[in-house]
Order: sequence, then C-alpha cells, then structure tokens
Amino acid sequence: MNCQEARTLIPDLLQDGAGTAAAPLRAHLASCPGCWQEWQELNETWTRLGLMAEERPSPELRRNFYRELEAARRETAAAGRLPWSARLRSRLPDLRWLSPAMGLAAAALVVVVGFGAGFFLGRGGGKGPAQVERLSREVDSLQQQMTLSLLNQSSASARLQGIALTSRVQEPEPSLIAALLATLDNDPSVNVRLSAVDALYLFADRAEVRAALAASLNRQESPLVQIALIDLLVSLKEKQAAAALKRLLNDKKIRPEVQQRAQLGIGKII
Amino acid sequence: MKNTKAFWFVLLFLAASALALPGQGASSERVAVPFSDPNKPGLVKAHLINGGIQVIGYEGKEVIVETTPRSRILTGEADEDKDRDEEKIEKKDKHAGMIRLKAGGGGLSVEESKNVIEISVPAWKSDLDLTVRVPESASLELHTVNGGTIKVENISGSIEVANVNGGISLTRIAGPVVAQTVNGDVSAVFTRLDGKTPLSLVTFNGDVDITIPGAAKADFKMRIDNEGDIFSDFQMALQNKSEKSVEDKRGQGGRYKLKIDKTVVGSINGGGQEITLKTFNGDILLRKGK
Repeated sequence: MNCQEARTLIPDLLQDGAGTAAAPLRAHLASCPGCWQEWQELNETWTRLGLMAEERPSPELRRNFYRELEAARRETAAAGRLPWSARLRSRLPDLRWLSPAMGLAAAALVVVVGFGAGFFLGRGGGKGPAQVERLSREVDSLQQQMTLSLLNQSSASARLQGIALTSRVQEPEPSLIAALLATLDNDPSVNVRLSAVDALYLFADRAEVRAALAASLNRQESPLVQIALIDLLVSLKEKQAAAALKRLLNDKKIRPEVQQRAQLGIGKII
Repeated sequence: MKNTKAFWFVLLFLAASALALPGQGASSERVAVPFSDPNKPGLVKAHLINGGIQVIGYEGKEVIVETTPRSRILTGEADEDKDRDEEKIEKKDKHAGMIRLKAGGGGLSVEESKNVIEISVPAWKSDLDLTVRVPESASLELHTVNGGTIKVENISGSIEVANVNGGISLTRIAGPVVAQTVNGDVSAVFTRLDGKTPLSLVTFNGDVDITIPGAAKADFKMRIDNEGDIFSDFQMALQNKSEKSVEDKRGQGGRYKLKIDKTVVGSINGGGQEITLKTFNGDILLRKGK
C-alpha cells in the first residue's frame, strides 16, 4: 500500500474500521512516519469532536420555527398561487395595442422623466449625509443611555461594561459626563473608578471635566486611583490641579509612593 | 462590680468549654442555608474586617458557611446563649418576611432574601476565617480588610472581590471577575472566558498573575509602574508605540518578555474581551492555560 492510498483510507479506519483494508493500512501506518503523524492528528481531532457537547436547541426554537412557517404559508396562500411575473403582468395595463410611434413617444417620455428626476435628486444630495449624521447622533445617544443604565447596576462588571461603551461616544451629553464623574467619586469598586478615569480622559478637552478631576483627587482613598488621577492631570498639564497635588503632600494618610508621584507632578505642571 | 462578675462568668464558661471540647474551636460554627430559588444562580455576599475568606464551588444546592476562629479569647458570649435555640426569628420592620439565621455565639450572621445570601461577622468579633461552600453557578461578592487571603475555587458565576492587606487567589473560574487589593498578589486561573464581559484585576503592591485559555480572544490594557515587568506566554499585537524592548527566550524554555513604559494596550488572537491588569509595585504575568 502506498501513502496516497493509505491517506484516503485513514478516515474510514476512524469511522468504521476500514473493513478488509484495515490490516494492510495499519501495517503501512506503522512503517511510514508521515502517514503515522497524519493518522495521529486526525485521530485526535476525531476524538475531540466526539467529546464536544451536543448543541441542543431549546424547545422554544422548535415552536417559533413552526409558528413562522405557518405564518409564511398563510401569506403565500393569501397572495395566490401565481408566480410573481404573472401577478405583475395582471396588474399592468395591456400595452400591446399601442402603435410603434406611441411606443417611441413613451420611451422618450421615460428618458426625459428619468433625467429630470436624476437632476432633481442630485441637487438635493446634501440631504443624504445630513441623514447619516442624524442617525449616528441617535446611535451615539442610545449608547450613552445604555451606559447610564449600566452604571446603575449593582454588579461591578456591568458597570465596567457601561464605561467601556463610552469609548465610542462622539458627543457626550452633560448627563453622561456627570454620571462618569459621580462614578469616579462614589463607586464602591476601585476597578470601576479606575476605568472611569480612563473614560474621562477622552472628554478631558472640556474645562469642567478637568476641574472636576482635580477636585476628585482629594476625595480618593485608593492609592491606585490617586496615581491614575495624578498621571492624567499631569499629562493634561492642568495648572488648577497644583493645589490638589499640594494637599496630597500635606496629608499624612497618603502613601509615600503617591506623595512622591504628586511631588514629581507639581514640578511638571507649574 | 456587676460587670466584673459577668466577666468572670464568661471566663469560667470559656475555660469549661475549652476543657469539654478539647481540640475543637470554642466557637467554630457551621450553618447550611438554601437559596429561595435553587434553580436560578444565586449571589453570595460576605463582608469581613479581620480574617480570610475561602469559597469553594461544589455540586450541592445549599450554601454551607463555616467559621474558624483565629484565637479563642473573647469569642463565646454569655448572653448570646439565650438565643441559641431560636433558629428562626421573625422580624417586624424592614426584615418582614425574611428569615434570620443565627448560629451560636460567634456572631456569625447569614441572611437569605431573593436568592441573595449575606454573610457577615461584626467587626468586634472578627479574627476568624470563613469557609463557604456554594453551588458552582453562584456569583460572589467578597470583601475583607486585614489578615487574610481571599480564595475562590471552582466557580462559574461572576466574582467581585476586594481586599486591602492580603492577596486574592482565584482558581478554576469561568465568569466575569472584578478584583482589587492594595497589599497582596492577585492571581486568577480561568478555565474559560465568556468573550464579552470586561475583566479587571488590580493591586498596588503585588503581582497580577492571570492564566487564560490559549485560544482566548482578548484586548489587554495593562499598566505597571516602578520596577515591574510584563511577562507573557502569548504573542501580543501591541497598539501603542511606547518605548519597549522585547526579549524572546521561549526557544530556550524561557518566557516571552515585554518591557514597556507603563501602559500597554495589546490584543491576542485578534482581540475581543477587554481585560484590565494593573499594579504599581509588581509584575504582570500572563499565562497560557492548558
């Protein structure tokens, strides 16, 4: 038996034992390292496939399928048995009585109307992008509402999910920014607060956000959040933050690592 | 004067119980509580001040809470004994309709309402370790401050953990994780990632050590400060252009080492689930699971 024959027979061997060819095939596999490897790999894949859990559709799926099938059948029945071309023809007036001249005139009319419509629509072309813009604004606002509702969830991972959505927001509404700032100040989870710092970075071009970030620094207890805020304020070169940074230096409860970072920061923003 | 008498009484009681139960903690407690709807995944919350928490997922339906005191001094209380027989007390006000389960003199309190079980120990009675066995599908919310590690094993629900002076160790977990501590390592071994919920593991002083399946699709946001390094079993597609040096020692049985300035944003297997890992003093280790 040669390699080509052997390889075509390997799947049979896995499936049903390959019958009479089994003995020569096994002999070939034992002698040929290339085929042996192929056999090993397929065997492993085959075993893993067997181990995979069977996907079971829910009983709901079956019910829905039959419900939709029934609805579709009723629709077709209502529309009649005729094919679409026949149905279309039956609704159009019969034009065969028209003379060739009239036909030509009709064709010309179609061309004129076509050009006219094209010209007219072309001029109103400005409407298209405006519509796209409005749509994208709607999506934006939907995403923000989604964030607001997720931020009210009791599970920290849901709140993280809400904050993750803000990375795609283009035009933040004041309520979104207020919610992110409230999360930064009050969220019980340090992880969520840290992620709020990252999210607010995107909106830090607004003066009110920068002021709120500086004010928040003295309200934080977690050293990780303190460091994240210091780094953010320093990278923004926010001069207003100098006072907040100085307060950290005088606060005995603040860790030395954080104070050191604040000290460095003051040097960079002044 | 009265107080002194009471004190001696307590001391005598303790001495007597210590003699009567040699080798057993004077106020080790064990309570088993079912969820009101055992067919739906429940939530277990535990809040301690001093002490470690260990939660193990098992195949049963009940939540079994056990406490192990660290010291036997000042545990049993004389006046608590009166309540010992009353397992169920109906409260009138805001707790109407709920069952209060009280166990022994250790001050352990376990309450169940709407598939949420809350375990608490008053701060002045703490210094005890909590071992809780829960159904594997349960979600967890665990907090402690001092003197103990939070350990979680074999849980497929979501996990929220906060510690201050102690590590966090999660093994054989499959749900979303939000974990943070200040002084201690955070380690997590995932058997599976759900592919969508963001994960976040952070510490201030300590390593963040995470193991995820080799085929997992994820976007990483990692941050180290000070002397830390990031070590990865995965080849990572980096998105930012911060200073970096790559050291590939995998050929010699070593690890792939990324050394980068502070923040790293990168993805593995094409990206997907968002994973945030942060430490101030420590390394980040990213391992490929078997």
